[in-house]
Amino acid sequence: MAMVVLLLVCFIVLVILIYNRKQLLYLKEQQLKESEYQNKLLQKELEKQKSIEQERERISHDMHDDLGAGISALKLQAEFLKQKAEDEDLKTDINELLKTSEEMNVSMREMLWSLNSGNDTVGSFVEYAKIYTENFLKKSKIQVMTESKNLIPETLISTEQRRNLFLCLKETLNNAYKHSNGNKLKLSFMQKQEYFIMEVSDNGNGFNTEDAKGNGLSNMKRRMNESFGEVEILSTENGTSVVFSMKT
Amino acid sequence: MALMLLTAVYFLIFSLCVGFSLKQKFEGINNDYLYIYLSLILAIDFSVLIAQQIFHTDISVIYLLADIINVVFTYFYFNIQIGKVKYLSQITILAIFGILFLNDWQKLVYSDYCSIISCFFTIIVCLLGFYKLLHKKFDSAKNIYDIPFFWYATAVLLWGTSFLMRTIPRFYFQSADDSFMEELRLFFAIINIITYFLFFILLLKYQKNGKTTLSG
Repeated sequence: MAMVVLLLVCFIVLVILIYNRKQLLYLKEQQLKESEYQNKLLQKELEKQKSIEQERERISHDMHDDLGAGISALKLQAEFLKQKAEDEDLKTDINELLKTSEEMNVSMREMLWSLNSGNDTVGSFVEYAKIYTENFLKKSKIQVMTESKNLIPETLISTEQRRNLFLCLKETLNNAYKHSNGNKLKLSFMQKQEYFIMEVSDNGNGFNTEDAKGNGLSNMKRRMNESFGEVEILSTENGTSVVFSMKT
Repeated sequence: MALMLLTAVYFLIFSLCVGFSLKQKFEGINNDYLYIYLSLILAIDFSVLIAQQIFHTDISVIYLLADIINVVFTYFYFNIQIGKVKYLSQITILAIFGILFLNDWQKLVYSDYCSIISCFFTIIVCLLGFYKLLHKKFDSAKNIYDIPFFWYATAVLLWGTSFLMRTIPRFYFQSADDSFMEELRLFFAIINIITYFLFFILLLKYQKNGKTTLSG
C-alpha cells in the first residue's frame, strides 16, 4: 500500500513538473508574441513617419519649384515695371510690391528650412538661428554676439521642436528689437546632458515680467511646453535674458 | 487504541473542513458546492459511527449513498473545473446503475463492489482531469497549485487508490491475516486524514470573487 502511495506521489510530482514546463513555454510564447506585436507597432509608426517625411519633402519641393519661381517672376516683372514707370507714386507702390515679394521669399525659405528633415539636428538649427539673427538685426543699431558651448551638432531634434524653438527665437528677437532699447544682443547655445539650451540676452532697459501678459510670451510658453521644454525670463534694469531649454 | 485516536483526528479535520466550507458559503464565497458534498459525506460517516458505537447497529448500507454522491459530485466538479467531455455523462449514469445493481438489496447489506466501482470511476475521472490539465490548449498563466481541481484530484486519487488497496486484499486475507488487515486499517486511517487535509487546502484556494476554474 505504501508503494502505491509512493507511486501516486511520483505521479503527482510528474504532473506538476510537466505543467510547470508547459506554463514556462506558454509564458515565453506570450512574451514572444508581445514583442512581435510591439515590433509591428513600431514598424507601422516608422512607416507613418516615413510617409509624413516624404509628403513634407514633396511639399517643400513643390513650394521651391512652383511658389519660389512664381515669386521670382513677380519680382522680375515688378522690376521691369519700375524701369518703365515715370510716375513717382507708381514707383513707390512698385517698391512696396518688391518689398512684399522679398518678405514672401524670406518666409518661404524659412518654411522650406522647417520642412526639410535634413535640418533636424542641433548643428543645423544653431547655424540657421545665427544667420537669421544677424540678418534680422543687420540694419538695426543692435550689435549681435553669438556663442556656442559643449555643442554636439549631430544631436537630433524633432522638426516640431526645431520649428517651435525657431518661432520662439523670432518672437524674442522681435521683442528685443522693438522694446529693449539696448545696443547689444547675445545669442548663446549650449548642451547640458540631454538638454539643449538657447539663451537670448540684451542690455536693454528690461521690463516687469509680472506685468507682461502679451500673446507673444504666452505663445512662447505654450510652444516650449509642446516641445517638452521650458522658457525662463529674467529681466532687470540692465537687460533681459530669455532662456529656452528643451529635452533632445 | 491507535485506530481510535486516528479516527478521532480524522473526524476532527473532516469537521473542520465542513465548518470552513459552510463558513465560505455564508460569506458568499463560491466553493463549487464543496460544502454540500463534504457535509453529506460527513453526515453519512458520522451516522455509521454513531449507529455502530452507541446503538450497536450496522447501517453501513448508507455508504451506498456516499458512493453515488462521490460519483455525481466528481462528475459535476469535473464539468465545472475542466469542462464538458464527450460520453462522461453516460459513463456517470452507467457507474450509478452499476453501484445500484451490484448492491445486495435482498440482504440489505453494503457490497464492497459498489465502493470499488465508485473508486474506479473517480480515479478515471481525476486522471482524465490531469490529462486535460496538461493537454488542453495551454492558455493559463495560473500556477498549478492555484487550480482547485489539482488539489481535489490529488486528494481523491490518494483516497481512491488507498481504498482499493485496502478493499481488494480484504477479499483474500480477511480471515487469514488479522494483523495485516489491522495494519491496513491504520494505514487507511492516516490516508483519510491526509485526504481531508488536502481538501482543506483545496477550500483555501477559493476566495471572494476569485476565478478558480481552469479557464479563469
